[in-house]
Amino acid sequence: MTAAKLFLKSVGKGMKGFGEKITAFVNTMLLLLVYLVGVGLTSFVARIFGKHFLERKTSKKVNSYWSDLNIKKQEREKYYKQF
Amino acid sequence: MYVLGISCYYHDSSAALLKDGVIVAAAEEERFTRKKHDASFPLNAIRYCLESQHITINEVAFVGFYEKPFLKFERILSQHLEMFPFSFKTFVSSLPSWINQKLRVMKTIRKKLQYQGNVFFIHHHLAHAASSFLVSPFDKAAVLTVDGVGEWTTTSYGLAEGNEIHLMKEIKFPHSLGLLYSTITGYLGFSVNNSEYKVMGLSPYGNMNKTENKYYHQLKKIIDIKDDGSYRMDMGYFTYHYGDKMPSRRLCKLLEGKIRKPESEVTQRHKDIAAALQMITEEVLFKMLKHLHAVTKCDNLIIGGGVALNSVANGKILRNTPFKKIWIQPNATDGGNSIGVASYIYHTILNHPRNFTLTTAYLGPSFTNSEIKNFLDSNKVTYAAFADEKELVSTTAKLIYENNVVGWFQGRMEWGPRALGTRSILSNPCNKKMQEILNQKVKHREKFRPFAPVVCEDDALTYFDCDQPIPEPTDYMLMVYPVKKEWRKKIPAVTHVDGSGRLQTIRRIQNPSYYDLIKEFGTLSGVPILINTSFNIRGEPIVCTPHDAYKCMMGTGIDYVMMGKYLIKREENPKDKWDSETVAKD
Repeated sequence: MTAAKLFLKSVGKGMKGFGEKITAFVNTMLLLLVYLVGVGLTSFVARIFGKHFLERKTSKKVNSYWSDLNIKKQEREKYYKQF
Repeated sequence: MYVLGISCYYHDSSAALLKDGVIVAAAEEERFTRKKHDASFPLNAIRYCLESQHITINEVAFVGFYEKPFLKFERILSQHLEMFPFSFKTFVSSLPSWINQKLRVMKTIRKKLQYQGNVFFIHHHLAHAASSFLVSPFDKAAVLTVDGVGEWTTTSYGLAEGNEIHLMKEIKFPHSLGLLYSTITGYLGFSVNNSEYKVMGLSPYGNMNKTENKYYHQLKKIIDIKDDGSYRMDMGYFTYHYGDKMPSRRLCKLLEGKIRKPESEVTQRHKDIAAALQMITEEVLFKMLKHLHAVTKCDNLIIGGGVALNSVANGKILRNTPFKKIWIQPNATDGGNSIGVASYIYHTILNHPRNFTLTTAYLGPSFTNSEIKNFLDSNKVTYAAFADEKELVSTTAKLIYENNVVGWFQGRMEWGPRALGTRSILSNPCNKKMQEILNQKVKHREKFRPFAPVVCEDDALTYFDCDQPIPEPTDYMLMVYPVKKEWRKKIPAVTHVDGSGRLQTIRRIQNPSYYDLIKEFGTLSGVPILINTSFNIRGEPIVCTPHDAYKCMMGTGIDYVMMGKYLIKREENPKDKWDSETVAKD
């Protein structure tokens, strides 16, 4: 009886592990699709038009890299927003 | 009116509770879950905050979150769009947590706290600025925030006055002084977002001469610093904007070697690189601060963000910039932002005048003598009880003087990453072998890392070459100063290789028994200074409860623990199930 319980327990454990691996595989495939279609296509089009999403370059010509931020007290409603 | 501030989902999650503008409780989640730098939703910390005031969430008028999640997500997406296809690995590993957790802050607050009221969101760097300025002694101050990254901002400056803060300028991701420091920390084989202070401690062993240290010149190639302190980095040397490792192969080539393996030998090359990094960090900071002073024309300075924990640089600020006063809150990193958002809601959004100055870091849980006794009795611990505090202080001072390692568990737990005299391990700084003894018995630290001294504020100028008047951040171990030459050989265990000490000053009003203990030790030894190191084993958070403290003692070589009015001797108690050493790690 105990041996049967142990066997069933280990089968259950194995099934769970297998299920987790399947989930991880499916998730990765879905994310790959999103990455290729969503991110990849947008990135490709942006590059054609010379659009950059991060300012990566340094410049010897400019005197300062500080850019305007201008965060100060706003109307209360603005603080409810997550963006 | 109660306001709850929350910081989580990056590192060091925390909660803070304000009552009518006064911070009544604050703690990091890691102390409760026992996971170092725990980033999860701080349910335990929130529970503690509410229980400390005997209230429920229904009595909290407002809840605040320390950043704008959607703005941060925009930056994450921008990284992937810019770096396609190299960012695939991090896209797969990070996107699920954004979808399932980080973009659902509102839902989580509603569900886990059963809170139906208003939730405010403020910018990450505004929370840093508020967490320091709104609890500072200044009515007006120039503000500098420097960390790894918030939403987009990595560095910002501005001016704060009364209960308002104006952040004027910024430097945006991917250029980040904090991430430069973290990258080199990773390159030197230490854990990122954890061991930056080790690199700071390693730097004095390197060549601090800018002309002679070749790595200084090499590192200068990767960062373009302008006269006003603004900077950009050559991103070809980094991979953190798309990868899961921070230094690129190009950086390894520039620094003439591979990434150091953890626990492997620290060579002179590593030390010189750490020195070069520290010199560049200070150079950028001082240039920024000179520019900030010129813009704001204000002599008071507030600093926030993780870089504000660079106590070596902090100790040089008043001598290298026009600022006359400085204030930094004890938990200047992301963990401290829960105080920032809560204070900003109460004072700025709701427009209440400021009525509170943070003068101690003791904002965490405490345990009564009866609670401690219950714990000791129920676990069959052998202990002795003191009749009064005077006896407790004199016995402890004697034990330390006799070179014992003593755990000091008294009162409310500290807020922030430093143990400041309520969850501390104390020992004798006059014994030149004490560093070795402490490492052997408890800490198992790298040999190059110094231990910190604690001295009563009124004695500090006798032993240390501090700025005058002594800046208040010194109370929170945030300033490194030179030990006066005549004392260096007398307190070898707390004097670093360059003759400096990361001291904590203590005023009697902050912690009377701790202050009296240091004075009593001074009477016995002639030097009123103690070694103060955090009460934990390597890789674990600082202890919070009597259980944590007892477990830490029994698994290490701590000789005694003073827990409330009770004295526990390790040798009188069986080790068996309490062996915490087995879990020690970096």
